Amino acid sequence: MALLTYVAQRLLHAVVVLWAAYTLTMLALFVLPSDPVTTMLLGGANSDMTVDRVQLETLRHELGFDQPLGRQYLTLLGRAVRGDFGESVQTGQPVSALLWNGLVPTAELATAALLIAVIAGSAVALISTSTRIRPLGGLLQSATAVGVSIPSFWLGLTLIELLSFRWRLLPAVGGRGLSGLILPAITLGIPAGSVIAQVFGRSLRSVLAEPFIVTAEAKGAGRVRIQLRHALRNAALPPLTLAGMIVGSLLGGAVVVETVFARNGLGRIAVDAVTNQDLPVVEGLVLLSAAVYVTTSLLVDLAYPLLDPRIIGTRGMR
Amino acid sequence: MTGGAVVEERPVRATVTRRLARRARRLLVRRPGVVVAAAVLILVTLWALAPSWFTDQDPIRGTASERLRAPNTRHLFGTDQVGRDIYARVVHGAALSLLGAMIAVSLSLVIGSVVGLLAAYFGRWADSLLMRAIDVLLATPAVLSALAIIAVLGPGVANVAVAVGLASIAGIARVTRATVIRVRTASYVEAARGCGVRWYAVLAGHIVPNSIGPVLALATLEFGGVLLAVSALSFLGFGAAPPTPEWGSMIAAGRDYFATSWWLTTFPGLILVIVVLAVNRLSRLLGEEYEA
Repeated sequence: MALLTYVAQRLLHAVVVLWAAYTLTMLALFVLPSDPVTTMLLGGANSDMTVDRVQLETLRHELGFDQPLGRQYLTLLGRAVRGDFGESVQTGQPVSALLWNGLVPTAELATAALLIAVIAGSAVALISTSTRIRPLGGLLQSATAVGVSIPSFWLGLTLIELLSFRWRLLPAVGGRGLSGLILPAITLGIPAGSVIAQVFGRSLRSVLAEPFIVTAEAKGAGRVRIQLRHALRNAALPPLTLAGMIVGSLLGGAVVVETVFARNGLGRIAVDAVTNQDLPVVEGLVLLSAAVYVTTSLLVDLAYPLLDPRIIGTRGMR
Repeated sequence: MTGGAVVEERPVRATVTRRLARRARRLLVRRPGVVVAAAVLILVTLWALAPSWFTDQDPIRGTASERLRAPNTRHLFGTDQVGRDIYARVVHGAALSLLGAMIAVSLSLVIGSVVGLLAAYFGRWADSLLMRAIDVLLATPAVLSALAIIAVLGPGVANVAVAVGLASIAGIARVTRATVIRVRTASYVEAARGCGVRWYAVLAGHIVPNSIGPVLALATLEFGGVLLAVSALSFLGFGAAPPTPEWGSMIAAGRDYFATSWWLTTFPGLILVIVVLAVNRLSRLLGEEYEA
């Protein structure tokens, strides 16, 4: 029963956040100084043609922009629930189709980056907390501090400069398949991995100071066994709470990384849409990223009780 | 009686100065990193305030005969495709890059703390309404919400700063709310209320001064991330227009030549990394102060 309430609570929270995201972006659209219908007729914001008034009014009526705001909002919300987010102002393509096309390459990139970030980040955290060589621990900790301070666009350019131009190991831009994925994934993965390493490392250090670790040591358990069997599971909760944020930051980082490596994907679509003030596309992107965040957080929330069954009993843990 | 007070004051002041000096010395010895970080930030601030103290070369107009020179003794960081000194451009660019980040942090600090304060102080429906809005900001990555705001406002340095500031409200609002909720139930606040102090006086006289510390510590921490976000958006081409020196857009401009001239992108980026590292180091110190 407690489990059911817990799941229902988390689900409801997810739906409310999504609805609020939609409503907030719609609000932003309504208070906008520029008129979407004019922009649509001009085929983008950066055109200097003038618009025929009659044509403008006809189109406005056809699209329902002359209706009261409340009704407009409900109509659009109804469409959005069915997955229809309108058409791109620039190309006239449906936003959902446009985003679907961009989703695949970006998901590839983000998954590869996430793998790198989780593996490298946890490895750094585990090694830096268990090593007997003190300079190595210090070095790894400084490395994570540098990792969160590096702008990803500069990191990408520097990696291209070194690995592609100077040593000719990997293709710089546009490479198809796995070899083209490596550099962008590393670029995207390093900042996220550093965050994981920092949070996980801090959490490991505090768990390793707990009495039950001393007990395990007293019973003769080795370092590796203590780290993997006793500390890992107890220290995994704090970094796991960040999962939604990290996946979200990968999406945000993809905007920059895809531009640097000239890859197609959601990031490129975002930059294009913002440059041309293509608001339906921008709105769709915001909603998509909110949906990704909400889904990830929901999955983590549902996985939580498996790691720590005590959570179900306590209400309102956030 | 007055004489006695003066006599007593002297040793007190002496111990205070001595204690301060001892603290400063301990800081130098134990935390060389903090000292280096502070020095970096002072230097970069001076770059922003008085660039002409550090370089006499023109950041906008170049010398055509000195195009794409590698770093040498005359041009410490080399020159770009129109013969401008990269070092001069980095020094002059500090003003715009730092100003953008300052505007963004101040904006998110003001709006975020007001939202957090209102949510915590009034509770009930105000709390749920404001916090759901914050949840939405939290649910979209900062770069993407900033991009969405730029799509509405249009490009430009000021708009980029405003967009990044609005996009990073969430963290400040949540910390303010948590701190204010903790302070609100403290006994001295109850006492003030019991004495009949008006709500706005309680807010201004007791709650704000007692909860501002952790919020300011977080704001410093955010400065580094905000500086990165502002330069990333400049890099994407939404910030400073071409001849104006700014770190992010300098790196973007250097992309076209970086297969042959690595110094165009490497130096502005390196300076950016060093500054963000220094800010993060100092903010960690501030965070420790508040926990201690």
